[in-house]
Amino acid sequence: MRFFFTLLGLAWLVSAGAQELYVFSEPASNMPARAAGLKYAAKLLDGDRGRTEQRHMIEMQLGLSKKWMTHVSTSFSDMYSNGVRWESARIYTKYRFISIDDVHRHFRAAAFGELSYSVNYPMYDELSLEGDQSGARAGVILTQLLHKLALSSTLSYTASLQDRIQHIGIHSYTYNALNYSLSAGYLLFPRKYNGYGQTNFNLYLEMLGSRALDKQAGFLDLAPAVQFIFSSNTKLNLGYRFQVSGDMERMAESSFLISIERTFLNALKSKSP
Amino acid sequence: MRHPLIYFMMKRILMIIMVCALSFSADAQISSAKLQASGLTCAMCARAVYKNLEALTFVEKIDTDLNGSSFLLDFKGETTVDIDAIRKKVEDAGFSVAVLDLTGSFQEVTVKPDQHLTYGGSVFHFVGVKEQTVRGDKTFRVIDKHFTSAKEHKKFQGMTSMECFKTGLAAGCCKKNGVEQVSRIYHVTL
Repeated sequence: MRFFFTLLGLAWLVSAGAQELYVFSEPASNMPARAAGLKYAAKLLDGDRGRTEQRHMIEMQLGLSKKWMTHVSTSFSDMYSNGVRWESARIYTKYRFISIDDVHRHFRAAAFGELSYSVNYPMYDELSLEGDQSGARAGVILTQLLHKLALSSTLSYTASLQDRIQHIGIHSYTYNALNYSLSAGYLLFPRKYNGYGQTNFNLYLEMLGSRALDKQAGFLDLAPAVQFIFSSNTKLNLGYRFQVSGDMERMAESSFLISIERTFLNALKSKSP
Repeated sequence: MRHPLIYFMMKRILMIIMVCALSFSADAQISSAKLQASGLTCAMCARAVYKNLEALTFVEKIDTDLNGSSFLLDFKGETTVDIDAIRKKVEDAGFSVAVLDLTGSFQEVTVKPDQHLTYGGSVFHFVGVKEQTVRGDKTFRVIDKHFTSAKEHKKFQGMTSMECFKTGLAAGCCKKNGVEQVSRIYHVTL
């Protein structure tokens, strides 16, 4: 905690332009209208079966309008099976309802909803819609950009929509949880722009927490990440997430995330001149 | 009988005047603009604005100043510049217009406060200006809502009593200037 705020304070001090294309969470800002994006992400963790487990996610992102955007994704993993197999599909949509812009700064607020379908039978308390469970999630995001520093917080409610009755008798499961996050992003390079082709380098630090609503359990993770942006259209993200405190039954207390994302501007047909 | 030299000179002068008049009328449109976008710092964000502006049919060329989030737009000759379409493109990219300065060349035109001027296919309403004659290249700033900061817009609101300033649409106040109601009026200052 103290480490996080020290880093945040440092980022404030050197604050000069910055970034909110977070690796572990979504900002309140939307992608451009009529833009499309393609993302591949891999999550790696050491599970309780003594081997490295993997999840591969493919996501399509669409900017429906300047206020609406949606993600559709699917995932494959070997986290609940012996080999990698298809496990889930997910839809996410976000609506930006406040946007206050100033030169090199902005404040945005957005509401989002998410639905997922998964074939897995999760035996953990951690609620996750990235492939682990069938469920629904809704929440709000507030994002503030201050030149090179961007701060964002998310508060959401997640409900598991999965029938897990076959596991009763072992222990009772979590079905409802409150998730929260606080994210900071900082544009480290370039110090001065000279073109769209220049590679940008961003540093991120996110705090990701969850608290079960139907039993006494929760966790708080810290997630540092780095991001390269090539040609102003391709992102490469590398992140590591680890638990700093918690008593929730989880698949793993730490994981690696690597993702690559490409944005295609004006991919959808325009109605205006 | 006129002296042939005087005749020749007069013909020459007349030609020069005609050429000048022609070039002025051909240039009677907005030739370029400087746009500053707000709400962004990243090059990826600026690229979204750039790509959107590039899609406008009347834009010839764009130069970007990434550090200042500014775009220099050159417009094609003999096309009408749709000022609202420029704003819409910036907003579709997810950002806003902070400053829009339009440049055009003028023959002798008298500009007065609260006066309308049809220029390059758009109707402009001058606010916060002294009565003056403009000629040659002149840059004017759009001060309508969503083209400038709310603070700046408010500052100019105190300088005009005309109701069209609030909406950007011709209102009862504009009728006496022979402008049709509900047509778009861009409020500008020099």
